[in-house]
Amino acid sequence: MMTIKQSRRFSYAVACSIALVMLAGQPTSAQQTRTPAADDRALVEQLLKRVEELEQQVKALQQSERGAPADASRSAESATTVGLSGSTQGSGDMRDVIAPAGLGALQIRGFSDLDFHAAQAGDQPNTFSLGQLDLFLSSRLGTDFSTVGEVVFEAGENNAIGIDVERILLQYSPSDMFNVAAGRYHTGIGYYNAAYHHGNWFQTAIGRPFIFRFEDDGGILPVHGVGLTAQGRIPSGGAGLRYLAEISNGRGTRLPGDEPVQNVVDENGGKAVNLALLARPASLPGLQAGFSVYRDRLRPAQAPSIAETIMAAHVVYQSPVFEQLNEAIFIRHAPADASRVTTTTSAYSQISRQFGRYRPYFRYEYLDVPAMDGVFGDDIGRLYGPSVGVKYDAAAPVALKLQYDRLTGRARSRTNGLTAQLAFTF
Amino acid sequence: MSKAISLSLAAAIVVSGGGAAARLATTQGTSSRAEVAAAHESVAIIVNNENKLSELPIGELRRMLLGEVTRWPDGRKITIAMRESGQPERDAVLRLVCRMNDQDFTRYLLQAAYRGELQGGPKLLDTSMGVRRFVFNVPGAIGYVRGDEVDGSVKVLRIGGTVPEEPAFGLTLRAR
Repeated sequence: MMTIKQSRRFSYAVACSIALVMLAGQPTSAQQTRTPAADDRALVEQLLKRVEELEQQVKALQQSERGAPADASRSAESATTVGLSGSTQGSGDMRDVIAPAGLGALQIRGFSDLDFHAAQAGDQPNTFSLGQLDLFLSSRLGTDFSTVGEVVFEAGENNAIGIDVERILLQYSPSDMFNVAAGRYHTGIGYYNAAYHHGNWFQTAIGRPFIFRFEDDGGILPVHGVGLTAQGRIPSGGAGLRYLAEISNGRGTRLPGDEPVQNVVDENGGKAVNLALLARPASLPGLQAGFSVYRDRLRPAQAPSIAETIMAAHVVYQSPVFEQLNEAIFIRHAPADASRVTTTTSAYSQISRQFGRYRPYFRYEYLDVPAMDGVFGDDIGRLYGPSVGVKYDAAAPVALKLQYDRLTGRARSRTNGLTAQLAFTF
Repeated sequence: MSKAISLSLAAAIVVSGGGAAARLATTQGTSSRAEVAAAHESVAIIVNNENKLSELPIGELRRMLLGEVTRWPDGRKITIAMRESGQPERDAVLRLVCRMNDQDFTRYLLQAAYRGELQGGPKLLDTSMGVRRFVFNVPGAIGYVRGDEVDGSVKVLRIGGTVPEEPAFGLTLRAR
């Protein structure tokens, strides 16, 4: 496409060319036809008129150039944006003619996986399992606003496929010190939950630690929240301190079997609050340590309300080569009548190292739910044991994982045994 | 016509190549060949001339490239201008500043976007001239070019207290 400067030069060139051609041709024409002086004058007037027209066009172009927004006139000519995949996306300044001004292009990235589980004797049968089809959506809505979302298609135990909106957030980011988002999000309890979402391709291991399993997969934490979440940097020099503050509906516990994430209606007027303080020291890139406290009041039907306090601490180090994750979580349930106060204890540690395309890993996890817990009941109990595996990067977007789980306990993972997973992004 | 195009291309090459190294060789007069070579082998971190910063710690540069810091001290949005994959300058910046290779960097950006921590990624440009022009035109931009490709249209930041012409400068295409 021709730029304004180029078109201006072009207009001048056209004008000059026409004038030169006409003037150059004039004597010859005069010699051949012996045109009278009056004809010459008419021709000159015609040329002057044409030059005037071209000058007006140049003025119009100059005016449009001055009137154009500074950013538009200054925007680089061939910049493309690397976004979700690292491959070139559309231009960052691209405008859709039917979209409101400032609305960026909607970007979609998919994640999915297929598992094969070779169960131990007496366990479930060997089976292929279709993983989640996770569509991650994002769009910039101007300088400070953006949106992210995750829509997941997933088959349940009955093999029927359902659809869940796992995340949808409108984010406002006016500065590094204050970013706020509204919608449904992954709560910032501990590290793993907000670091890894539904795409298994990102994860080193085949699945999430038991404590961070999703609510519809037997998890016991309020992994999702509906409300507001804010985070940002705290001016702290090399300490790299950050804060996180969330307020949400909390989890639903009124009736067993209810959807645990209160998407539309909260069962009570109180709200769950989660506060976290994190440190990412500048001197050790990849290191993060943090602590979070989550408070809510649960109101099960036909039972006294329960004060829930979840405390989580983590120290993680992640670099492209080495990874070590360590987390501990305590869930305290205190009924209003002060009876049966229980504390669930959970911890896990995961270590891995990259060797070329291979990343062997080891995870040990521990979970102890008191039998008298007023929310979890006695279904879970104690669960502990190791998982060992290897992840092979078959290609940049394709990972093949092989993992052996040896968990002990009543509620041991249903994937106990040997599991292979083909995880990919597209 | 083709002769004219050739002349234009030659002129463009002369102009684009006449950066810091040329300035060193002609205007200062005292610069050694080693300094010129150092500039050629180094990667200059450039910002818009309106940018008030003159120096940047390498840790802060890393956080900018990884999207952890998105604003300049004056509140202006940071826009990263990068060359496409496979360019030696890009490889050097990722290796020395981010401690990553290209695949790691791409994966990191993807995961940061997935977490909702990264809104928009770096701008990719085909040529060093394109990077320079982008940085010249966008007040909040930061990019990189070879040390001898710098001209007066952009400002070179001191990284770790040094600039590309100095032998102690750390951002080099090859390990010193």
